Amino acid sequence: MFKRIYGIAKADFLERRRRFSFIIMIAVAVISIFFFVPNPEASVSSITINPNEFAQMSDISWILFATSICVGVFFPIVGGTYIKNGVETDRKYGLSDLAQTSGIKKSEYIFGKILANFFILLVLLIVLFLGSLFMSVIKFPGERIPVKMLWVVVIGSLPNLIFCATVATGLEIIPIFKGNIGRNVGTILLFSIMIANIVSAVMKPISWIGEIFDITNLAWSIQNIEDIVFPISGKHADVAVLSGGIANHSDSSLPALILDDIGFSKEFVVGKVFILFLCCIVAMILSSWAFDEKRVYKSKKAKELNPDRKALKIRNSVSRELGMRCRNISLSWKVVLTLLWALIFLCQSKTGYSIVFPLLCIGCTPLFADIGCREYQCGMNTVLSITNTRFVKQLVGEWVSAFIIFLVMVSPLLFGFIKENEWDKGIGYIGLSILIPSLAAILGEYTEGSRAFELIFIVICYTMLNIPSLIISITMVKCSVLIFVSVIMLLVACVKRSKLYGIMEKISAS
Amino acid sequence: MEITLKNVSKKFGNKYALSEVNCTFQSGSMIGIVGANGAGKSTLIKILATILKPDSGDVLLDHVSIVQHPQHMKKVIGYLPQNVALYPNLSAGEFLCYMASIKGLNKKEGKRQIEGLLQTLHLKDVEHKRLSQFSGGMKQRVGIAVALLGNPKVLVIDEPTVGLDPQERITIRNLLAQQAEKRIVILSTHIISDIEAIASDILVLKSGRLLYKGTPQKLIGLAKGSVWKYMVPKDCNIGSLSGVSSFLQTDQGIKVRQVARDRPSIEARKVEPTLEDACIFMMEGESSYV
Repeated sequence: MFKRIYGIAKADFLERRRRFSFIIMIAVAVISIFFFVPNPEASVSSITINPNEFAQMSDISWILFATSICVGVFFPIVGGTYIKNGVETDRKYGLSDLAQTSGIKKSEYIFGKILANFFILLVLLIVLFLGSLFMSVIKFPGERIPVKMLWVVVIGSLPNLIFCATVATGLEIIPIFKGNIGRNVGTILLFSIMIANIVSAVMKPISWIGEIFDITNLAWSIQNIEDIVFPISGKHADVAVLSGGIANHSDSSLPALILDDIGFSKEFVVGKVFILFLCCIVAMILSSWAFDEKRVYKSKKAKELNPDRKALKIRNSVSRELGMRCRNISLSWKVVLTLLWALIFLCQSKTGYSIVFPLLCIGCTPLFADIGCREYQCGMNTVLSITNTRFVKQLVGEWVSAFIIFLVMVSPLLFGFIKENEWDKGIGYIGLSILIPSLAAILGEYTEGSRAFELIFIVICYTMLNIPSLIISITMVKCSVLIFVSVIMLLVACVKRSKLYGIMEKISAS
Repeated sequence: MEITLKNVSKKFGNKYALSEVNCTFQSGSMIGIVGANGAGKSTLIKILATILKPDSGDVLLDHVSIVQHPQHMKKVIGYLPQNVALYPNLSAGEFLCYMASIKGLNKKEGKRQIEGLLQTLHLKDVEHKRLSQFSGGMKQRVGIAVALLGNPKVLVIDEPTVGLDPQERITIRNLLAQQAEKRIVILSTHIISDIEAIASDILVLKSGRLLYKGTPQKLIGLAKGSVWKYMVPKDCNIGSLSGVSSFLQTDQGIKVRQVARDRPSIEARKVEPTLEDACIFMMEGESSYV
């Protein structure tokens, strides 16, 4: 049994590890370390602890601790979304049928998939902590690395990785989470679990559910900080994650705060054992759905075409692309999104941009996810690439249609800002309308898949939910930079698509 | 070893993919399942492979129902799906190791079998190459290797030669013919030449119904007197003729070979039917010869 589970996990891990998207994920993990390192001088810092009493980022232990907290907060949603691909890969390549005929038990298959997901998350976790170690050495040269603390935070994160791995597998297996709508519902559910966990972790006092079901390790981290801060200052710890504003600016005359004295409390151990037990139960339940592909064949009578109708209208690429974008979602989902969009008009401006708009963005992910990659996924690239300019025009058409859709999405916010005479708050959203399609185009073009963009887009939405002031604080200068970068990304995608670099090779060869 | 299908039916929505199919297969035989696209070949294959369950009827393996006890079939089956299933980023060796582990082979035995299969299927040189770089024929051979892992008693293969060049089709055909000596090989195809020389039994399906089950020779015998050869003018619309098994453009006109119960033309003369003619004869008609 364990051999089969390991065999499935190993093959799945090797397959996904060798994809280009894995390299991108590693790159994202490395880049994110720069954001995880607390920076009291920046407008947003990853963590602040009693900023009026202690000097921020005063010790090497801050970097590891901040990484641990940020990993706990972001990993479930980012990791869970990224690794949600194992079972889908088997379905896509026909390996589900092959596994089914091999005599493997459903439970073995599911546990193997969960283990594969865990391996991938573990690699990402190791990259993150190695990166934070590297940053520690850079920021605090010559200081002793708190090895014990490193082991504690890494081992403490492992049960949470197993939880993420199990949830990701569940979102692929449970029938209601399949398909475009199901994926979005699953993502929103994951968001909700994370936010509920974060909220319960910061409650004072922390509820017992928050302590036991601490899947972000936030409650444990805050408790540890409390145990360190209270004896020193006599006050409770005031911890903020991803905080902005004046409070960040650290006064170096304040005493340093060393955070390396952390350990596993009884509640922590009980909580992790409970999470592992829960994951096993969930995995056994998920096994009942494995290989359960209900093929429903409905013979619909084909609609007879009206012989008097006009000949096929050749539409321009933008209107055609707008139509194809909208076909990515069902009618019922379109209704839901339209209602959300209308709600932005009706609610207060702050509620609109901090809650409703990010949720609308999450729901609209399928509208943008296939930009740049649709042709590769269905094999049309081989046909279209023969007509060099057509292939590039298609990408531009996709970009323009996505820009129009995003502009329509942000229009209620812009309308609200203009009404309140705060038009400068809308600059960031216009920049976003240009950035998102360009990001989709370049990621779709280079990865030939939609998942890289889906993942990054979800991170952007998650950031909008957690730091609502981020977009409205974008100035004209920053927006110009954003637009410049977006244009470059689109150009690069177009160049790649037109294979102009082939021309460069010929020139250099001659 | 014996496989028996008893009144097997399978419906998708309002459409019957299989309708009351009855037949028996024995060890040491290669059974070719032929039929047009949508005849029910893949559905029958998937029922035999325990991927689908019939809506009615039963499938027995040595008198044990595999509908009630699918594990009984899974222990002895090797399956090759229509589109070869593999992980593109794994090498051939890694993929076979993966399949060996999920088939429950121990490490030593698995390695021995994989080495043997790589040699037999001429894949030893490319063992470490990624599957995404393999040609269609090479992928098919990897698929056959996967199906043969674990030394199965029953091989179920769904259209193994689609998209392969003539040389590769001959290679695959010969490989499968060798396997039929010691097991039951059930092969679905719509390319008659794949099974012409090697199948011991033929099943002809049409719209889910079993029209014929028996030897190729008997099937050819049924079509005797119904195959005609004659010439038509160059501007004749061949597409409007039904039952045309082949045609050849010449300077004098188009030589047509047609399957029809009645003489299609005054100049038409009877010719000896081939297996392809016989299959067309069966599929054009509605009679069942089971």
